[in-house]
Amino acid sequence: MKLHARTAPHIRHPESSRTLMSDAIILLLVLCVLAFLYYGLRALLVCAVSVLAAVAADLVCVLLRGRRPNPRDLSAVVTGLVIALMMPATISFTAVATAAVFAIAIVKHPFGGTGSNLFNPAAAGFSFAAICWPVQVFSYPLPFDRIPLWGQAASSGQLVYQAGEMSVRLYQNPVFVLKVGGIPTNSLSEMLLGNYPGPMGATNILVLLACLCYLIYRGTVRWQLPISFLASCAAVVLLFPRESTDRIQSLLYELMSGLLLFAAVFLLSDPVTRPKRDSALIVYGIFAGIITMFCRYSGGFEESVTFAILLANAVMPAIDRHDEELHRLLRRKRLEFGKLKKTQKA
Amino acid sequence: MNLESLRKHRRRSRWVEGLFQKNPILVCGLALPFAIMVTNNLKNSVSISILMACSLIPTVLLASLVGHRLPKWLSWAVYALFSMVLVIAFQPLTAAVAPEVGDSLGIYVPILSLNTVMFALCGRYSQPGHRPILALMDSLSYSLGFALAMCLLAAIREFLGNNTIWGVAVKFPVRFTGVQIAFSGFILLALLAALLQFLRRVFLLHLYRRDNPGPNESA
Repeated sequence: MKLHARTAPHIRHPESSRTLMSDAIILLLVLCVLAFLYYGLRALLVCAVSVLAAVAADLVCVLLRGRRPNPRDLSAVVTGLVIALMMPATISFTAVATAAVFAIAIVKHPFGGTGSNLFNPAAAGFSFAAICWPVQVFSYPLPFDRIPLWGQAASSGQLVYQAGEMSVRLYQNPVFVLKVGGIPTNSLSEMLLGNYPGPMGATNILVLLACLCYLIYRGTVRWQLPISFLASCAAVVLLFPRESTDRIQSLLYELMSGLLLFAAVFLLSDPVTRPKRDSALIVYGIFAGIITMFCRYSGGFEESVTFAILLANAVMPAIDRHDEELHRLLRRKRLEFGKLKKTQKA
Repeated sequence: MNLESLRKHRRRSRWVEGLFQKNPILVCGLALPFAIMVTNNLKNSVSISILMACSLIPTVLLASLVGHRLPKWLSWAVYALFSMVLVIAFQPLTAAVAPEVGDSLGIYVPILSLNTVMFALCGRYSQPGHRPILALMDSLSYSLGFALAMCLLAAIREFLGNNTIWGVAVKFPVRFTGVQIAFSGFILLALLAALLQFLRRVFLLHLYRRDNPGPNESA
Protein backbone atom coordinates (compact mmCIF):
# COMPACT_ATOMS: atom_id res chain seq x y z
CA MET A 1 0.00 0.00 0.00
CA LYS A 2 1.37 3.42 -0.94
CA LEU A 3 0.96 6.09 1.75
CA HIS A 4 1.00 9.81 0.97
CA ALA A 5 2.33 11.93 3.84
CA ARG A 6 0.75 15.40 3.97
CA THR A 7 1.41 18.17 6.44
CA ALA A 8 -1.39 19.76 8.50
CA PRO A 9 -3.98 21.25 8.19
CA HIS A 10 -5.95 18.24 6.95
CA ILE A 11 -9.39 19.82 7.34
CA ARG A 12 -10.09 22.07 4.37
CA HIS A 13 -12.33 25.11 4.75
CA PRO A 14 -13.22 27.76 2.18
CA GLU A 15 -12.42 30.51 4.71
CA SER A 16 -8.73 31.36 4.95
CA SER A 17 -6.68 34.20 6.32
CA ARG A 18 -6.73 35.72 2.85
CA THR A 19 -10.53 35.69 2.54
CA LEU A 20 -10.93 37.14 6.05
CA MET A 21 -8.49 39.92 5.26
CA SER A 22 -10.07 40.52 1.84
CA ASP A 23 -13.45 41.06 3.51
CA ALA A 24 -11.93 43.61 5.85
CA ILE A 25 -10.05 45.33 3.02
CA ILE A 26 -13.21 45.68 0.91
CA LEU A 27 -14.97 47.45 3.77
CA LEU A 28 -11.96 49.56 4.67
CA LEU A 29 -11.69 50.67 1.03
CA VAL A 30 -15.33 51.79 1.20
CA LEU A 31 -14.43 53.88 4.23
CA CYS A 32 -11.40 55.23 2.35
CA VAL A 33 -13.65 56.37 -0.48
CA LEU A 34 -15.94 58.10 2.05
CA ALA A 35 -12.91 59.74 3.63
CA PHE A 36 -11.88 60.95 0.16
CA LEU A 37 -15.35 62.44 -0.38
CA TYR A 38 -15.27 64.18 3.01
CA TYR A 39 -11.65 65.29 3.24
CA GLY A 40 -10.29 65.18 -0.29
CA LEU A 41 -7.10 63.76 -1.71
CA ARG A 42 -5.15 64.15 1.53
CA ALA A 43 -7.23 61.39 3.14
CA LEU A 44 -6.20 58.98 0.39
CA LEU A 45 -2.59 60.05 0.70
CA VAL A 46 -2.63 59.37 4.46
CA CYS A 47 -4.07 55.89 3.77
CA ALA A 48 -1.47 55.21 1.08
CA VAL A 49 1.43 56.28 3.32
CA SER A 50 0.15 54.11 6.16
CA VAL A 51 -0.33 51.03 3.97
CA LEU A 52 3.05 51.47 2.27
CA ALA A 53 4.82 51.87 5.62
CA ALA A 54 3.06 48.80 7.05
CA VAL A 55 3.79 46.63 4.01
CA ALA A 56 7.43 47.75 3.83
CA ALA A 57 7.93 47.11 7.57
CA ASP A 58 6.29 43.70 7.20
CA LEU A 59 8.55 42.78 4.29
CA VAL A 60 11.69 43.86 6.16
CA CYS A 61 10.66 41.97 9.31
CA VAL A 62 9.84 38.81 7.34
CA LEU A 63 13.24 38.93 5.62
CA LEU A 64 15.00 39.61 8.95
CA ARG A 65 13.33 36.54 10.41
CA GLY A 66 14.68 34.47 7.54
CA ARG A 67 11.26 33.68 6.09
CA ARG A 68 10.02 33.89 2.53
CA PRO A 69 7.59 36.80 1.94
CA ASN A 70 4.03 35.57 1.46
CA PRO A 71 2.17 37.66 -1.13
CA ARG A 72 -1.13 36.09 -0.01
CA ASP A 73 -0.76 37.57 3.49
CA LEU A 74 -2.77 40.80 3.42
CA SER A 75 -2.74 41.49 7.16
CA ALA A 76 -0.22 44.33 6.84
CA VAL A 77 -2.54 46.09 4.37
CA VAL A 78 -5.44 45.78 6.83
CA THR A 79 -3.27 47.11 9.68
CA GLY A 80 -2.15 50.06 7.57
CA LEU A 81 -5.70 50.93 6.49
CA VAL A 82 -7.14 50.59 10.01
CA ILE A 83 -4.45 52.86 11.47
CA ALA A 84 -4.98 55.49 8.75
CA LEU A 85 -8.76 55.49 9.14
CA MET A 86 -8.51 56.06 12.90
CA MET A 87 -6.47 59.24 12.30
CA PRO A 88 -7.64 62.71 11.28
CA ALA A 89 -7.03 63.70 7.65
CA THR A 90 -4.58 66.37 8.83
CA ILE A 91 -2.25 63.97 10.60
CA SER A 92 1.38 64.30 9.58
CA PHE A 93 2.74 61.57 7.32
CA THR A 94 5.55 60.92 9.80
CA ALA A 95 3.06 60.17 12.58
CA VAL A 96 0.97 57.78 10.53
CA ALA A 97 4.01 56.01 9.08
CA THR A 98 5.54 55.67 12.56
CA ALA A 99 2.30 54.19 13.90
CA ALA A 100 2.23 51.63 11.06
CA VAL A 101 5.90 50.68 11.49
CA PHE A 102 5.45 50.39 15.28
CA ALA A 103 2.42 48.14 14.77
CA ILE A 104 4.25 45.77 12.46
CA ALA A 105 7.85 45.83 13.70
CA ILE A 106 7.24 46.05 17.45
CA VAL A 107 3.83 44.52 18.08
CA LYS A 108 3.33 41.94 15.33
CA HIS A 109 6.61 40.33 14.33
CA PRO A 110 8.42 40.00 17.69
CA PHE A 111 5.50 37.79 18.83
CA GLY A 112 5.74 35.53 15.76
CA GLY A 113 4.09 37.44 12.92
CA THR A 114 0.70 36.89 11.34
CA GLY A 115 -1.57 34.71 13.46
CA SER A 116 0.66 34.77 16.53
CA ASN A 117 0.53 38.35 17.76
CA LEU A 118 -0.76 38.75 21.30
CA PHE A 119 -1.88 42.36 20.90
CA ASN A 120 -3.79 44.01 18.09
CA PRO A 121 -1.09 45.72 15.99
CA ALA A 122 -3.35 48.52 14.73
CA ALA A 123 -4.55 49.38 18.26
CA ALA A 124 -0.98 49.45 19.52
CA GLY A 125 0.21 51.57 16.58
CA PHE A 126 -2.57 54.09 17.10
CA SER A 127 -1.91 54.19 20.87
CA PHE A 128 1.77 54.87 20.26
CA ALA A 129 0.93 57.72 17.89
CA ALA A 130 -1.60 59.08 20.41
CA ILE A 131 1.05 59.14 23.15
CA CYS A 132 3.69 60.72 20.90
CA TRP A 133 1.52 63.29 19.11
CA PRO A 134 -1.73 63.75 21.10
CA VAL A 135 -2.54 67.19 19.66
CA GLN A 136 -2.25 65.98 16.07
CA VAL A 137 -4.11 62.73 16.64
CA PHE A 138 -7.05 64.20 18.55
CA SER A 139 -7.78 67.37 16.55
CA TYR A 140 -9.84 67.00 13.41
CA PRO A 141 -10.81 69.12 10.39
CA LEU A 142 -14.45 69.68 9.45
CA PRO A 143 -15.75 67.49 6.63
CA PHE A 144 -15.72 69.19 3.19
CA ASP A 145 -12.99 71.64 4.28
CA ARG A 146 -10.33 72.05 1.62
CA ILE A 147 -7.24 70.44 3.10
CA PRO A 148 -3.94 71.16 1.34
CA LEU A 149 -1.89 68.07 0.54
CA TRP A 150 1.39 69.19 2.10
CA GLY A 151 1.09 71.07 5.33
CA GLN A 152 2.12 71.28 8.94
CA ALA A 153 -0.41 69.67 11.24
CA ALA A 154 -1.47 71.09 14.60
CA SER A 155 1.42 71.73 16.94
CA SER A 156 2.17 73.62 20.15
CA GLY A 157 -1.45 73.47 21.24
CA GLN A 158 -2.84 75.50 18.30
CA LEU A 159 -5.64 73.72 16.46
CA VAL A 160 -4.61 74.82 13.00
CA TYR A 161 -3.32 72.94 9.97
CA GLN A 162 -1.00 75.25 8.08
CA ALA A 163 0.14 74.89 4.47
CA GLY A 164 1.88 78.00 3.20
CA GLU A 165 -0.64 80.80 3.48
CA MET A 166 -3.60 78.46 3.67
CA SER A 167 -4.76 77.31 7.07
CA VAL A 168 -7.48 74.91 8.09
CA ARG A 169 -9.10 75.22 11.49
CA LEU A 170 -9.15 72.01 13.53
CA TYR A 171 -11.82 70.95 16.02
CA GLN A 172 -12.34 68.45 18.82
CA ASN A 173 -14.47 65.35 18.54
CA PRO A 174 -17.79 65.24 20.51
CA VAL A 175 -16.12 62.70 22.79
CA PHE A 176 -13.82 65.49 24.00
CA VAL A 177 -16.85 67.63 24.86
CA LEU A 178 -18.24 64.71 26.87
CA LYS A 179 -14.86 64.25 28.55
CA VAL A 180 -14.76 67.86 29.81
CA GLY A 181 -18.34 67.59 31.09
CA GLY A 182 -20.14 69.41 28.28
CA ILE A 183 -22.98 68.45 25.97
CA PRO A 184 -22.10 68.04 22.26
CA THR A 185 -23.98 70.42 19.95
CA ASN A 186 -23.85 68.07 16.94
CA SER A 187 -27.21 66.78 15.79
CA LEU A 188 -27.68 63.02 15.89
CA SER A 189 -28.61 62.86 12.19
CA GLU A 190 -25.34 64.60 11.31
CA MET A 191 -23.51 62.10 13.46
CA LEU A 192 -25.21 59.20 11.70
CA LEU A 193 -23.97 60.56 8.36
CA GLY A 194 -20.51 61.40 9.64
CA ASN A 195 -20.82 65.13 9.10
CA TYR A 196 -18.82 66.21 12.15
CA PRO A 197 -15.11 66.49 13.01
CA GLY A 198 -13.66 63.10 13.76
CA PRO A 199 -11.35 60.30 12.64
CA MET A 200 -11.44 59.76 8.85
CA GLY A 201 -13.12 56.38 8.87
CA ALA A 202 -14.94 56.33 12.18
CA THR A 203 -17.53 59.08 11.88
CA ASN A 204 -20.01 57.60 9.43
CA ILE A 205 -22.09 55.52 11.84
CA LEU A 206 -24.53 54.21 9.24
CA VAL A 207 -21.76 52.89 7.03
CA LEU A 208 -20.00 51.34 10.02
CA LEU A 209 -23.21 49.58 11.04
CA ALA A 210 -23.57 48.30 7.47
CA CYS A 211 -19.96 47.07 7.60
CA LEU A 212 -20.70 45.25 10.85
CA CYS A 213 -23.79 43.58 9.32
CA TYR A 214 -21.77 42.53 6.27
CA LEU A 215 -18.97 41.03 8.37
CA ILE A 216 -21.47 39.18 10.57
CA TYR A 217 -23.28 37.90 7.47
CA ARG A 218 -20.01 36.71 5.95
CA GLY A 219 -19.05 35.00 9.20
CA THR A 220 -15.85 37.02 9.51
CA VAL A 221 -17.13 38.49 12.76
CA ARG A 222 -19.17 36.55 15.32
CA TRP A 223 -22.13 38.65 16.42
CA GLN A 224 -21.54 37.81 20.08
CA LEU A 225 -18.44 39.99 20.30
CA PRO A 226 -19.50 43.42 18.97
CA ILE A 227 -22.98 43.09 20.46
CA SER A 228 -21.73 42.23 23.95
CA PHE A 229 -19.09 44.96 23.68
CA LEU A 230 -21.56 47.66 22.65
CA ALA A 231 -24.17 46.42 25.12
CA SER A 232 -21.75 46.59 28.04
CA CYS A 233 -20.63 50.08 26.96
CA ALA A 234 -24.30 51.10 26.78
CA ALA A 235 -24.99 49.60 30.21
CA VAL A 236 -22.12 51.57 31.76
CA VAL A 237 -23.35 54.79 30.11
CA LEU A 238 -26.92 54.21 31.28
CA LEU A 239 -25.80 53.48 34.83
CA PHE A 240 -23.24 56.28 35.05
CA PRO A 241 -24.04 58.92 32.39
CA ARG A 242 -21.53 61.70 31.93
CA GLU A 243 -24.17 64.01 30.54
CA SER A 244 -26.69 64.23 33.36
CA THR A 245 -29.57 65.85 31.41
CA ASP A 246 -30.81 62.93 29.33
CA ARG A 247 -29.61 59.34 29.67
CA ILE A 248 -30.70 58.25 26.20
CA GLN A 249 -29.07 61.25 24.54
CA SER A 250 -25.93 60.61 26.54
CA LEU A 251 -25.99 56.96 25.44
CA LEU A 252 -26.29 57.91 21.76
CA TYR A 253 -23.51 60.47 21.95
CA GLU A 254 -21.19 58.06 23.75
CA LEU A 255 -21.78 55.22 21.30
CA MET A 256 -21.64 57.36 18.16
CA SER A 257 -18.65 59.56 18.98
CA GLY A 258 -14.99 58.73 18.80
CA LEU A 259 -13.69 55.35 17.73
CA LEU A 260 -16.08 53.13 19.70
CA LEU A 261 -18.06 51.64 16.82
CA PHE A 262 -15.05 51.47 14.51
CA ALA A 263 -13.15 49.57 17.20
CA ALA A 264 -16.07 47.18 17.69
CA VAL A 265 -16.10 46.39 13.96
CA PHE A 266 -12.42 46.33 12.99
CA LEU A 267 -10.22 46.12 16.10
CA LEU A 268 -12.03 43.98 18.63
CA SER A 269 -13.07 41.37 16.09
CA ASP A 270 -9.51 40.71 14.90
CA PRO A 271 -9.49 36.90 14.47
CA VAL A 272 -6.02 36.54 16.03
CA THR A 273 -6.55 38.47 19.26
CA ARG A 274 -10.13 37.45 20.04
CA PRO A 275 -11.11 34.32 21.98
CA LYS A 276 -12.13 31.16 20.12
CA ARG A 277 -15.46 30.07 21.67
CA ASP A 278 -18.73 31.99 21.48
CA SER A 279 -19.19 32.07 25.25
CA ALA A 280 -15.66 33.39 25.67
CA LEU A 281 -16.42 36.04 23.04
CA ILE A 282 -19.30 37.33 25.19
CA VAL A 283 -17.14 37.50 28.32
CA TYR A 284 -14.35 39.17 26.33
CA GLY A 285 -16.76 41.69 24.82
CA ILE A 286 -18.24 42.61 28.21
CA PHE A 287 -14.80 42.95 29.75
CA ALA A 288 -13.55 45.11 26.86
CA GLY A 289 -16.68 47.28 27.03
CA ILE A 290 -16.36 47.97 30.75
CA ILE A 291 -12.63 48.69 30.45
CA THR A 292 -13.26 50.98 27.47
CA MET A 293 -15.80 53.06 29.36
CA PHE A 294 -13.58 53.13 32.44
CA CYS A 295 -10.67 54.39 30.31
CA ARG A 296 -12.94 56.94 28.63
CA TYR A 297 -14.25 58.23 31.95
CA SER A 298 -10.98 58.38 33.84
CA GLY A 299 -8.20 58.08 31.21
CA GLY A 300 -5.88 60.86 30.17
CA PHE A 301 -7.08 60.96 26.58
CA GLU A 302 -10.64 61.53 25.44
CA GLU A 303 -10.46 58.49 23.17
CA SER A 304 -8.93 55.48 24.93
CA VAL A 305 -10.69 52.57 23.26
CA THR A 306 -7.43 51.36 21.71
CA PHE A 307 -5.75 51.27 25.13
CA ALA A 308 -8.73 49.34 26.50
CA ILE A 309 -8.49 46.85 23.63
CA LEU A 310 -4.80 46.31 24.37
CA LEU A 311 -5.70 45.60 28.01
CA ALA A 312 -8.44 43.21 26.91
CA ASN A 313 -5.97 41.49 24.55
CA ALA A 314 -3.70 40.82 27.51
CA VAL A 315 -6.55 39.11 29.36
CA MET A 316 -7.80 37.16 26.33
CA PRO A 317 -5.64 34.00 26.81
CA ALA A 318 -6.90 33.70 30.41
CA ILE A 319 -10.53 34.07 29.28
CA ASP A 320 -9.98 31.43 26.59
CA ARG A 321 -8.34 29.01 29.03
CA HIS A 322 -10.98 29.32 31.75
CA ASP A 323 -13.76 29.06 29.19
CA GLU A 324 -12.24 25.84 27.83
CA GLU A 325 -11.97 24.44 31.37
CA LEU A 326 -15.59 25.34 32.05
CA HIS A 327 -16.73 23.63 28.85
CA ARG A 328 -14.72 20.49 29.70
CA LEU A 329 -16.28 20.42 33.15
CA LEU A 330 -19.78 20.80 31.70
CA ARG A 331 -19.12 18.05 29.12
CA ARG A 332 -17.85 15.71 31.85
CA LYS A 333 -20.88 16.43 34.03
CA ARG A 334 -23.21 15.85 31.07
CA LEU A 335 -21.53 12.49 30.35
CA GLU A 336 -21.72 11.48 33.99
CA PHE A 337 -25.37 12.51 34.10
CA GLY A 338 -26.08 10.47 30.91
CA LYS A 339 -24.36 7.40 32.35
CA LEU A 340 -26.32 7.77 35.59
CA LYS A 341 -29.59 7.95 33.64
CA LYS A 342 -28.68 4.83 31.64
CA THR A 343 -27.89 2.84 34.80
CA GLN A 344 -31.12 4.03 36.42
CA LYS A 345 -33.09 2.91 33.34
CA ALA A 346 -31.29 -0.46 33.32
CA MET B 1 34.96 19.40 15.33
CA ASN B 2 37.57 21.87 16.59
CA LEU B 3 36.29 23.89 19.56
CA GLU B 4 39.65 25.27 20.69
CA SER B 5 38.86 28.91 19.81
CA LEU B 6 35.49 28.74 21.50
CA ARG B 7 37.03 27.31 24.66
CA LYS B 8 39.77 29.93 24.63
CA HIS B 9 37.18 32.66 24.19
CA ARG B 10 35.15 31.29 27.08
CA ARG B 11 38.22 31.17 29.35
CA ARG B 12 39.20 34.71 28.47
CA SER B 13 35.71 36.17 28.67
CA ARG B 14 35.21 34.70 32.15
CA TRP B 15 37.06 37.74 33.54
CA VAL B 16 34.73 40.23 31.89
CA GLU B 17 31.54 38.18 31.66
CA GLY B 18 29.44 40.93 33.25
CA LEU B 19 30.16 43.23 30.36
CA PHE B 20 28.47 41.34 27.50
CA GLN B 21 28.17 37.60 28.09
CA LYS B 22 26.19 37.95 31.32
CA ASN B 23 25.27 41.61 31.17
CA PRO B 24 23.21 42.22 34.35
CA ILE B 25 20.44 44.10 32.52
CA LEU B 26 20.41 42.84 28.94
CA VAL B 27 21.12 39.16 29.60
CA CYS B 28 20.39 38.40 33.27
CA GLY B 29 17.39 40.74 33.58
CA LEU B 30 18.60 42.13 36.92
CA ALA B 31 18.02 45.68 38.24
CA LEU B 32 15.17 46.24 35.79
CA PRO B 33 13.43 49.05 37.74
CA PHE B 34 16.50 51.22 37.14
CA ALA B 35 16.75 50.21 33.49
CA ILE B 36 13.14 51.21 32.88
CA MET B 37 12.48 54.16 35.17
CA VAL B 38 15.81 55.94 35.38
CA THR B 39 16.89 55.83 31.75
CA ASN B 40 14.88 58.90 30.72
CA ASN B 41 18.09 60.82 30.21
CA LEU B 42 21.81 60.19 30.10
CA LYS B 43 22.63 62.24 33.22
CA ASN B 44 20.39 60.07 35.37
CA SER B 45 21.92 56.90 33.96
CA VAL B 46 25.50 58.00 34.47
CA SER B 47 24.73 59.09 38.04
CA ILE B 48 23.03 55.85 38.98
CA SER B 49 25.81 53.84 37.30
CA ILE B 50 28.45 55.66 39.35
CA LEU B 51 26.50 55.03 42.54
CA MET B 52 26.04 51.39 41.57
CA ALA B 53 29.77 50.87 41.00
CA CYS B 54 30.65 52.66 44.24
CA SER B 55 28.30 50.48 46.28
CA LEU B 56 28.57 47.18 44.40
CA ILE B 57 32.36 46.69 44.26
CA PRO B 58 33.08 47.11 48.02
CA THR B 59 29.96 45.15 49.03
CA VAL B 60 30.83 42.15 46.84
CA LEU B 61 34.42 42.30 48.07
CA LEU B 62 33.13 42.30 51.64
CA ALA B 63 30.94 39.31 50.87
CA SER B 64 33.86 37.38 49.38
CA LEU B 65 36.11 38.17 52.36
CA VAL B 66 33.79 37.67 55.34
CA GLY B 67 30.60 36.23 53.83
CA HIS B 68 31.35 32.60 54.68
CA ARG B 69 32.07 33.51 58.33
CA LEU B 70 28.76 35.26 58.87
CA PRO B 71 25.54 33.34 59.63
CA LYS B 72 23.28 33.34 56.60
CA TRP B 73 20.39 35.13 58.33
CA LEU B 74 22.70 37.98 59.26
CA SER B 75 24.77 38.22 56.10
CA TRP B 76 22.04 39.78 53.90
CA ALA B 77 21.33 42.47 56.48
CA VAL B 78 25.05 43.23 56.72
CA TYR B 79 25.40 43.54 52.93
CA ALA B 80 22.33 45.76 52.68
CA LEU B 81 23.46 48.02 55.53
CA PHE B 82 26.98 48.25 54.15
CA SER B 83 25.63 49.06 50.68
CA MET B 84 23.29 51.68 52.17
CA VAL B 85 26.15 53.41 53.94
CA LEU B 86 28.13 53.47 50.71
CA VAL B 87 25.21 54.85 48.69
CA ILE B 88 24.71 57.65 51.22
CA ALA B 89 28.42 58.37 51.33
CA PHE B 90 28.81 58.55 47.57
CA GLN B 91 25.52 60.34 46.81
CA PRO B 92 27.21 63.79 46.60
CA LEU B 93 29.03 62.46 43.52
CA THR B 94 25.74 62.67 41.60
CA ALA B 95 25.65 66.43 42.21
CA ALA B 96 28.99 66.62 40.43
CA VAL B 97 27.44 65.00 37.36
CA ALA B 98 24.50 67.42 37.33
CA PRO B 99 22.89 69.27 40.25
CA GLU B 100 19.32 68.47 39.13
CA VAL B 101 19.92 64.71 39.04
CA GLY B 102 19.36 64.28 42.80
CA ASP B 103 15.73 65.41 42.44
CA SER B 104 14.97 63.45 39.29
CA LEU B 105 16.37 60.18 40.68
CA GLY B 106 14.19 60.47 43.77
CA ILE B 107 13.37 57.13 45.37
CA TYR B 108 15.72 55.21 43.07
CA VAL B 109 18.83 56.26 45.03
CA PRO B 110 17.81 54.56 48.30
CA ILE B 111 16.46 51.56 46.35
CA LEU B 112 19.92 51.14 44.82
CA SER B 113 21.28 49.80 48.11
CA LEU B 114 18.98 46.76 47.77
CA ASN B 115 19.46 45.92 44.12
CA THR B 116 19.36 42.42 42.66
CA VAL B 117 22.79 42.63 41.01
CA MET B 118 24.38 43.08 44.41
CA PHE B 119 22.43 40.23 45.98
CA ALA B 120 23.22 37.89 43.08
CA LEU B 121 26.97 38.56 43.30
CA CYS B 122 27.06 38.57 47.11
CA GLY B 123 25.19 35.24 47.13
CA ARG B 124 27.74 33.78 44.71
CA TYR B 125 30.87 35.02 46.51
CA SER B 126 29.77 34.46 50.10
CA GLN B 127 30.27 30.72 49.51
CA PRO B 128 33.66 29.41 50.68
CA GLY B 129 36.24 28.60 48.00
CA HIS B 130 35.83 31.72 45.84
CA ARG B 131 38.84 33.92 45.25
CA PRO B 132 38.43 37.61 46.19
CA ILE B 133 40.21 38.64 42.97
CA LEU B 134 37.40 37.01 40.99
CA ALA B 135 34.85 38.83 43.14
CA LEU B 136 36.62 42.11 42.44
CA MET B 137 36.82 41.46 38.69
CA ASP B 138 33.20 40.32 38.53
CA SER B 139 31.85 43.28 40.48
CA LEU B 140 33.89 45.57 38.26
CA SER B 141 32.70 43.96 35.03
CA TYR B 142 29.08 43.81 36.23
CA SER B 143 29.24 47.49 37.18
CA LEU B 144 30.61 48.31 33.75
CA GLY B 145 27.99 46.13 32.06
CA PHE B 146 25.26 47.83 34.07
CA ALA B 147 26.61 51.26 33.13
CA LEU B 148 26.90 50.29 29.47
CA ALA B 149 23.32 49.05 29.22
CA MET B 150 21.94 52.00 31.20
CA CYS B 151 23.81 54.56 29.10
CA LEU B 152 22.80 52.88 25.84
CA LEU B 153 19.13 52.82 26.85
CA ALA B 154 19.25 56.38 28.13
CA ALA B 155 21.04 57.73 25.07
CA ILE B 156 18.47 56.20 22.72
CA ARG B 157 15.48 57.29 24.82
CA GLU B 158 16.78 60.81 25.36
CA PHE B 159 17.67 61.24 21.69
CA LEU B 160 14.38 59.92 20.33
CA GLY B 161 12.12 61.26 23.07
CA ASN B 162 13.66 64.68 23.70
CA ASN B 163 15.98 65.20 20.73
CA THR B 164 18.82 65.90 23.15
CA ILE B 165 21.99 64.11 24.28
CA TRP B 166 23.25 65.02 27.76
CA GLY B 167 20.80 67.91 27.72
CA VAL B 168 22.25 69.37 24.51
CA ALA B 169 19.77 69.76 21.66
CA VAL B 170 20.41 67.57 18.63
CA LYS B 171 18.72 68.32 15.32
CA PHE B 172 16.32 65.54 14.36
CA PRO B 173 13.13 65.98 12.33
CA VAL B 174 10.85 63.84 14.53
CA ARG B 175 10.35 63.70 18.29
CA PHE B 176 8.82 60.49 19.70
CA THR B 177 7.68 61.63 23.14
CA GLY B 178 6.19 58.17 23.71
CA VAL B 179 9.72 56.74 24.03
CA GLN B 180 10.04 58.51 27.39
CA ILE B 181 7.31 56.48 29.11
CA ALA B 182 8.09 53.30 31.06
CA PHE B 183 6.25 51.06 28.58
CA SER B 184 8.63 52.08 25.78
CA GLY B 185 11.53 51.43 28.14
CA PHE B 186 10.44 47.79 28.37
CA ILE B 187 10.15 47.51 24.58
CA LEU B 188 13.54 49.12 23.98
CA LEU B 189 15.14 46.91 26.63
CA ALA B 190 13.70 43.80 24.96
CA LEU B 191 14.94 44.92 21.54
CA LEU B 192 18.44 45.61 22.85
CA ALA B 193 18.51 42.27 24.69
CA ALA B 194 17.52 40.49 21.46
CA LEU B 195 20.18 42.43 19.53
CA LEU B 196 22.86 41.45 22.05
CA GLN B 197 21.83 37.77 21.85
CA PHE B 198 21.95 37.95 18.06
CA LEU B 199 25.41 39.59 18.00
CA ARG B 200 26.73 37.07 20.52
CA ARG B 201 25.45 34.19 18.43
CA VAL B 202 26.99 35.64 15.26
CA PHE B 203 30.33 36.09 17.05
CA LEU B 204 30.37 32.51 18.38
CA LEU B 205 29.37 31.19 14.97
CA HIS B 206 32.20 33.18 13.42
CA LEU B 207 34.69 31.65 15.90
CA TYR B 208 33.35 28.16 15.19
CA ARG B 209 33.44 28.61 11.41
CA ARG B 210 37.02 29.93 11.54
CA ASP B 211 38.21 26.67 13.09
CA ASN B 212 35.79 24.41 11.23
CA PRO B 213 35.52 25.54 7.62
CA GLY B 214 32.77 23.86 5.61
CA PRO B 215 33.57 21.44 2.76
CA ASN B 216 33.22 24.20 0.14
CA GLU B 217 35.49 26.63 1.99
CA SER B 218 38.23 24.04 2.65
CA ALA B 219 38.23 23.02 -1.01
